[in-house]
Amino acid sequence: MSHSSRNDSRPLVLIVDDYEDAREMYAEYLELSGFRVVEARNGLEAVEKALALRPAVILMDLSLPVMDGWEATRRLKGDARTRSIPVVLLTGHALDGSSSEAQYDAYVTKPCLPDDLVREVQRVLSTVSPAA
Amino acid sequence: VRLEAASSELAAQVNAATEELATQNELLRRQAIQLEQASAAKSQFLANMSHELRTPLNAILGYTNMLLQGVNGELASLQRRSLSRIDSNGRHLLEIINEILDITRIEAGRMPLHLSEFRLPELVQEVMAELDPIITRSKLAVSTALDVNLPPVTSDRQKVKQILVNLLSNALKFTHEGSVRVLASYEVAAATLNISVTDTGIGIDPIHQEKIWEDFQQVDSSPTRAYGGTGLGLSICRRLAAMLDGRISLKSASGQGSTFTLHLPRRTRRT
Repeated sequence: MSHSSRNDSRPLVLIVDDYEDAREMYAEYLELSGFRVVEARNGLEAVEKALALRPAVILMDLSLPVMDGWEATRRLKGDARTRSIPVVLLTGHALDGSSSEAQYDAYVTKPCLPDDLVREVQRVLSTVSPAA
Repeated sequence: VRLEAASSELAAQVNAATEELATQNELLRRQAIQLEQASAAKSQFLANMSHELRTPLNAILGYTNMLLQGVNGELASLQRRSLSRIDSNGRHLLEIINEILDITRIEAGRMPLHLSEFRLPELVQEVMAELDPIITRSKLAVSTALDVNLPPVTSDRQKVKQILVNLLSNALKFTHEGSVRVLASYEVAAATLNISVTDTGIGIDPIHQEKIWEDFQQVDSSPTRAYGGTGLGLSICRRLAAMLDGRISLKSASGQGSTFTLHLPRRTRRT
């Protein structure tokens, strides 16, 4: 966004989805809602960008090329540098409670309207830093 | 000698018949396996298809919603109306896809049971809250009367809720005036909770009372029918109730309203 500056205090969201239309839709709405957004197309890119940029929250689709969302989340949660970043899974199916394949902080089921997703991001961020 | 000949002929006949039977059995066994595989393949196909359909639908519903919120500028009233129709039809399509996915998962034995102990009054409150916007719009007298001695239930809470939401929204949909009542009682001898939804709506003629439990069927399933919906709701409810070792019964007559009752065992056994 043109008005972003070096010491921008708006929280940074990393959105990971290989489906361009969904990724850009959520990115556009998150920016309208006062977030900065970076995008990743697969799990590996997500891990690299998370390490480099330390976003405030990560939105992670599960079925991704190169490295799927479960594996990327496992790596993020297994790395001391990224462990504390909340991960919200975006899934096509409802997760049943037994899906303990990786630690995660929340999940939303797609289809998910952009404003519902933003509400979830705000909720997750408020539990991490009550001041936000 | 004749007796001996007859006896050996009989033995040969029995042998031949036994062999024939064994061949037939083997054939049937193979056919059963093939049928099972075909059915599993069909379920897998439908499950994948539902998933594939939801991905583009997510973008359709999302962008429509953003436009309706005015993120790309204020809308003229005709634009708003057109977008609202895209939105409501998209939601309807999503509902159909979700219901097909539900049926597929039940049929494939891939709908997991999550048993827990819970209390019915709280659940009924949640169901009422979920349908509150529709209840308010309906202008019907909607009431609940739950026995005070209802024991805690061990069952799949989410599935019981799905059944009750469905029965109540059906009652609201097919009732134009009068009331909808939700009653719950406990039958000690059968260890069964009976949760009924009674309406003063259009009712169902006895000759149609079998049909409504079938997939994609309503009393009127014609393209010009007066009531929306997929015709999958009750067939899903019937399957879910069976998963919970329960069943749903119906008492109704045309023009006399309907009572749908979920008979739910106090404890669903893990299978």
